[in-house]
Amino acid sequence: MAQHQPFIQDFLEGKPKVFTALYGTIFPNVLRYIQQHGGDKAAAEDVFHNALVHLYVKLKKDALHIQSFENYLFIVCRNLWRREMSKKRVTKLADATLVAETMEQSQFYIEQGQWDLYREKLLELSQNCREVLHKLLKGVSYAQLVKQLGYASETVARQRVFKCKSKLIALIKADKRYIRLRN
Amino acid sequence: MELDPTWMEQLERYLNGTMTVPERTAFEATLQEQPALQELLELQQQLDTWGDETDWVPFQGEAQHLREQQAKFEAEDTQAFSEKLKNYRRSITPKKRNSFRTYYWAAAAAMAALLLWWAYPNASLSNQQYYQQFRNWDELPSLVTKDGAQDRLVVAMEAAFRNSEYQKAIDLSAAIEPASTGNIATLELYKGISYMELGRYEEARMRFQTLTEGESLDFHKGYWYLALLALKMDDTDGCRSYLKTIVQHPNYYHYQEAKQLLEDLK
Repeated sequence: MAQHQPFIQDFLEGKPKVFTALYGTIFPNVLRYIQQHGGDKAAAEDVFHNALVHLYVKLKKDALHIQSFENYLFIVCRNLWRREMSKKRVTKLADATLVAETMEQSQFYIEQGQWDLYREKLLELSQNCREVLHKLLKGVSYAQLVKQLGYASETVARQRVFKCKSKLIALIKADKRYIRLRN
Repeated sequence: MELDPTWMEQLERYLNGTMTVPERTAFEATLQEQPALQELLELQQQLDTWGDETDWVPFQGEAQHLREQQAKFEAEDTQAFSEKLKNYRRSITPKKRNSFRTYYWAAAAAMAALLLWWAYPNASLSNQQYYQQFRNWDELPSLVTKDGAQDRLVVAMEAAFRNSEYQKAIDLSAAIEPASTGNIATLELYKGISYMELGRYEEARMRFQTLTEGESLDFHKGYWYLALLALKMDDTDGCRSYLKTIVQHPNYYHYQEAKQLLEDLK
């Protein structure tokens, strides 16, 4: 799909031809992802709608520069669904809260912004650090890290993880876009 | 803020569960005393969550941050964009509403229109039909609740409304503190529509009219519901008047629908 400025401009103006392109090319992937993760078509349509409004605000109000419109749109859809699923797991029915649409969108906007910052700072780490953290977050144990990456011992692997995490946290905290997600 | 290497090491051990019991107790006491250390702990946990494909970290931070972002989503141009998107979705969705309830209401509306025509040949049937056609309460956003009894009241009120128990919805809404919903305008719409459905037109009109005269970002929604109210009251001229107000402002709620209805009412 075209990612050039006229496309973005038409998107911001809400031109039907852009919606047709987005619904034709990206929505099927979003639908498949959500159906594979416990959702249905109606949920996918809502997620897609909210993601497009999210992108509108990002592009229009915050002048976001993205390399790939369709990749970013899919990431936002995926994170919206992760959020939805996570919310369902932690919310007890008796305490269920309904939140106005714009407030939900705003909360997610902040969360996605911090997630973007995390991903951006992750890329600033060395290749080795990214690999170590990636494996760790995927559930690889320290013992396996020693074998897979050739560390001398688990202690050495732990020290490496510690340094990489410290570096990542320092990078995130030093960025002016960082905000605390909790009081 | 500089990261304290000692803290980072302790955090790692705390999260790994490798501290002794006395160390853990002492560390938790330090956590209570040091907000910066607490923040580091949160950030560590966030990193772990972000890496997990199935989890997410919800925002529970400063309300000021939320207000700043909310203004962007409530801005007229954002709302207009959202409306365009909804209109597009409607245009590509087959007209069928395949739930039993929708068919039930459509059949009931047709029967009511037929009876009305039989009993009162001079009555305007088309206004009632248009009302049924454009009456779509599913598009009303949900209301906010937070923890506590007040919010359960809002949930109960909305549930009653969605079940078409309008009198119950009005009774429950009387005990709701509007500010607790986070969206006073929407609460007014719930009330106004309930009155409209019960045939209490003047009370409905007051709700919608007040909305149009207020300072809410959603003030323009009032014109659409005033137009629907006029339709329900068989006041075609009144309906046209409200629709004309909407079509003069492309950013107003249901601009496209208003244009279509105005055309149909000619």
